[in-house]
Amino acid sequence: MKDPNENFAENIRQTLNQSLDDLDQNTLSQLNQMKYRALDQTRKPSRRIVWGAVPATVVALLLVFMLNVQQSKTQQTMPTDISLLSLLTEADTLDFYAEDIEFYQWLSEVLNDEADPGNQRGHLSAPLESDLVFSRGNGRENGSEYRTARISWNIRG
Amino acid sequence: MENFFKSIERQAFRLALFACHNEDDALDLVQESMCKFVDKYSNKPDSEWKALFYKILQNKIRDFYRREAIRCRWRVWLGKNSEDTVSEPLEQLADLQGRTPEQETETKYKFRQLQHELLQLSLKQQQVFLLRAWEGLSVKETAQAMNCSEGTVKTHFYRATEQLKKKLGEQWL
Repeated sequence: MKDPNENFAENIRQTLNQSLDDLDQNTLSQLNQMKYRALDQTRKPSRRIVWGAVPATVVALLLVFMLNVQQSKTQQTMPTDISLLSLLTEADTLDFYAEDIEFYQWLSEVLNDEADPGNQRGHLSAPLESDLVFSRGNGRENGSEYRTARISWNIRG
Repeated sequence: MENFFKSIERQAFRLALFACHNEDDALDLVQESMCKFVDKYSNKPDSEWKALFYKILQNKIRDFYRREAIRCRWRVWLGKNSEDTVSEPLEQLADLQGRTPEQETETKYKFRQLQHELLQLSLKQQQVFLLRAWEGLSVKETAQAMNCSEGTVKTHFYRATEQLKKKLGEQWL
C-alpha cells in the first residue's frame, strides 16, 4: 500500500501538471515570445557593447576637448612668462644692464667735460684706454672696476 | 538554454500566477526572470539552472509585492476609493478557458479546488510547497531560492502540507 503522504503529493503534482495543458494559446504564445526575447540577449552581445561604448566615447571626447582648450590657454600665456623668467634668472643679462648704466654714467661725465674746454685731453684718453683693455681680453669681471677708476680719473682731471 | 526554458516556462508562469493573481503581472515576472537569468547565469552548469531560475523568480515576486505595497500606500494616502480594487484574490484570477464550472471536467474541478486552497496559504508557505512538491527542488535548493534557512523551508512545507490535507479532504490522500 502506498504512503498517504506520497499519494497526496502525487495527486497534487498530477493536478498541477494537467493544469498546464489548459493554458490558453495566447498565454503560450506570449511565453514563447518571451523565451526567444530573453535568448536574443545572448545572441546579440555586440549591441550591448556598442551601447556601453557610446557614453564612454562621449566622455573621452569631452576630456580631450577640455585638455586641448587648457593647453592652448597655457600656450598663449607662456611667451611673456618665459621672457620674464629669463630676464630675472639670467645673470649675464643683468650684468649687461649694470655695465650699460656705468657706460651712460661715464658718457654723461665725458659730455660734461666736453662742455668744459680746459679739460680736453683727459676725456679723449679715457674711452680709448678702456677700449684697449676690452680688446686685450683683460676680463669682463675687471672691466667695470677699471672703468670706474677711469671715470673718477676723468672727474678729477 | 532554449530547452530549459521550454521545460520550465509554463510551470514558472503558473507559480507566478499563484503568487500575484494576475496573468499580465505573472507574464511580466516570468519575462523579467528569463532575461535576468540569461544575462547573469547562462554560463553556470546546467544542473544549477533550475534552482537559480526559481531564485530569480522568487526575488521578482518579492519585488512585485514591495511595489504593490507602496502602490497601496499611495492609493490610501491619495484617498482613492478602495472599492475600485478587488480584494479577493480568486476574483482576480482569469478564467483561462472561458468555460462555466458545469462544463469543466473533473480534473479542472480538482485544479480549481487546489488553486483555491493554495491561495489560502501564506505566500511563503505556498511557494515553498510548490517548489518542493511540484518542481521537485531539494530543501537546500528551495532555501536558496526562497532566501531563507533550510529549517524555515521544512517548517513552511510541513504546515502547508498539513493545511492542504485538512482542507482538500480524504479523496486527495
